[in-house]
Amino acid sequence: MKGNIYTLFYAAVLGTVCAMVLTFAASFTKPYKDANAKAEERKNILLALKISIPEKASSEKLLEIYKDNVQEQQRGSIKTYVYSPSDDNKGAIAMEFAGPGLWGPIKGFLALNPEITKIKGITFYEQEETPGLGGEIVKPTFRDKFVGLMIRDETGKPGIIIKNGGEVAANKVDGISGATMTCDKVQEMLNEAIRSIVEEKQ
Amino acid sequence: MKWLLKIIDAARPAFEEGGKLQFFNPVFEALEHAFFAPSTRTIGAPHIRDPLDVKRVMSMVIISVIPCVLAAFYFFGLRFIAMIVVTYAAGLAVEATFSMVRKESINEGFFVTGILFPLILPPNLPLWMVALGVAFGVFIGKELFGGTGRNVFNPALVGRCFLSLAYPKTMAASWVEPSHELAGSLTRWISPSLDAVSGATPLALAKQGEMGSVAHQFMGSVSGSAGETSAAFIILGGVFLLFTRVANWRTVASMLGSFVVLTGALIIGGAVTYPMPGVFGPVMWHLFAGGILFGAFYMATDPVTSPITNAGKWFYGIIIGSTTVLIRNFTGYVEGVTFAILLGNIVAPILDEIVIGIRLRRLRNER
Amino acid sequence: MADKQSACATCQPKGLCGGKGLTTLKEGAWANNPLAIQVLGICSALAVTNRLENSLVMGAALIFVCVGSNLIVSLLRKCTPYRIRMIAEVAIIATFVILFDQFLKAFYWDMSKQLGPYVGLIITNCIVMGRAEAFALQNPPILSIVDGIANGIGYAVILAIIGFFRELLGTGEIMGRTIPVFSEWYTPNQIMILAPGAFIALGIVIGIFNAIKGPAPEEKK
Repeated sequence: MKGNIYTLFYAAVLGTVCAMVLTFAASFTKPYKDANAKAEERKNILLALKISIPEKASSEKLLEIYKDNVQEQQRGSIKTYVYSPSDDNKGAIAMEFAGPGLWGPIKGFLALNPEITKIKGITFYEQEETPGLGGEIVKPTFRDKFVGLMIRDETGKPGIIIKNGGEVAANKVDGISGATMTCDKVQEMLNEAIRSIVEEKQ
Repeated sequence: MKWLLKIIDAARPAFEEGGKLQFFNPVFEALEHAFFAPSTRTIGAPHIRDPLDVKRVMSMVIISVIPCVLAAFYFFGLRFIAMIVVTYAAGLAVEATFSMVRKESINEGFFVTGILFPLILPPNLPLWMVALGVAFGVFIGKELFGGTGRNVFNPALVGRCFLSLAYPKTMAASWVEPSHELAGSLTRWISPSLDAVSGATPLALAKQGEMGSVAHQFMGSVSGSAGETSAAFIILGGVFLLFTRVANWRTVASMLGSFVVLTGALIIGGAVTYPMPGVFGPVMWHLFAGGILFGAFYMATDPVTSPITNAGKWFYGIIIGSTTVLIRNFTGYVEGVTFAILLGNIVAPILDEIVIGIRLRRLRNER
Repeated sequence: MADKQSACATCQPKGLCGGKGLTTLKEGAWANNPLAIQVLGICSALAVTNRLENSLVMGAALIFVCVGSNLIVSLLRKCTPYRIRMIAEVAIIATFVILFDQFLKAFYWDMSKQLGPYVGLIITNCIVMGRAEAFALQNPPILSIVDGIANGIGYAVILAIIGFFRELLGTGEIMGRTIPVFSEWYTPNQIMILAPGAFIALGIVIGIFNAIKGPAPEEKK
């Protein structure tokens, strides 16, 4: 009986000590982690809006650039991030999109021109696609294909196509060979985002 | 020939045990056996007198692929010679190195791998990739498992699988347009490459909703791996293999049979739809497209990597045939014969184990 | 594990920790290398070695956790009730793992994102648990630290070798930087950054390691 009480006591003390150490560590690192997550999000918005940022920018620097250039605006039910510089050609409006990917959720930002007719830029900040195949969506070579893409087809219906081969169209880009599933899913979530913002505009 | 025999006899002591060049004995032996019958004989009793040996089986396979090799020249150009030469040079270098380290004689097994490997590659693949692929296939797929006869996987397919995973872009860019003229590409080094449209083999086009003519596929004037496009020539060589009993008909029949049945069932059941109407047409189209025929006759029947028992061979063929159908129709890949046969290779020993186990149990019960 | 203790019991008492220090170090990092000889903890070795940087951080994480948990387990070895020793070990190991994970998340965000769940999964790494159970529970604290370092290094070095070759062959770069001349000439071999490449690289490294080390003493007899 004595041994049992000692065992319980030992477990309680060890558990408490471990929990305290972890709580302390978590609360100590929380501000840093939050800042990192925020900077990550901001960085992706900036990238989508095609605002140039220095290559190895610190998180403070990123937040500063963001504050100077981007205005957050509510557009109906959609939160948008608007960039309106003096050079009118560069203006853009960004919004978040999300959806299921092949292995896990995909999240990113989609930037359109202020008139909402063309894509300005696109970024993915959360994805777990197959490295080397679907994971290629984060590469600039794939993302740059979207720049200047029309968001409506010839009949004026909103939506884009990501597909290999087939007829060339103003709203179509080539997909990644070997990653058809990922491309289909990305196409679906982008189209949903495009539809929602087009409806909000009307 | 006497003078050659004299030279070889004179050189022999240097290579035998204790000689200066002992390390190179496997190379010497291989050269000697290329010209004369082996000087060593089986001494211990009992032994059966039979003309069938590894060399004989291998020669049969090599004779049977001659139609495919000629078709490769005809449709894709003379560059194919370079691919064969590079394959043999790289593969034999690996093989010879291993024989010297192991102090065994060089095995004839590689001669078949060496001719089959270039036949399953895109015709315009860079030659260094051909060399790397075959070296990888022989090294990882065969030598690490203990050499000819002990390999779990077909070395040629291991090499191809490695190349298609390692350099997918180059592989896709190496297909060429086959010759449509009467003289073929026999006067050319290589047929013109396809205009940057990635993967315009019939199967890739089918994924985009275009199905070409079955007749072209039967003759072979379509894009594809060097030796796999011409169904007619593959069947010609394949029937020869079956006739000489080098390839087992059970494997071929079950693989092609399950492939045809499953494809047909999917079309009838409405699980897949093709632009081509009917059931028979698309099934024949799929049978003549890609590497299913070549795989069935030359790859799946490899005696080392397929099951030994007859019942095992039936199941082995069914696994490969149905996996190919599933990969072709329900994944991002356009062709799945390579993966399907490698998968079949993995289960082959297990199938044998199961079949033998069941038989033993039955024998025990009868007693 | 059993031969390890007998090897330690026979050595002469002199130098660090009565001469056991050096033996322990050699044993952990070389003769009984956790990855190459015991083939433990290969899940993480396969998953994170596609970049040299990731491999190095993962190796550092394992050294930290192994040393920390060995020290605490060894300090508490006399007062830990035998029945719940494993749970106690897991609790201690988990604490150190989460500490390291939090540290990465706070100060090396990008690295933390790339390593994903694998830092957290060190909790289930057989090496850490195995050392705590087999070594730290029977040995004094300082010797346990040496053992932790030895095994951590044994793991980290192999990880770094695999990471180096996978990144070099798979992308033609090292530490994310291009190498002059080589990077322009080299065609990246994509299989090396995919999972199959990890198996091939790990297999070849283990093969070469064993060829250099030669057969284990008991096999020679």
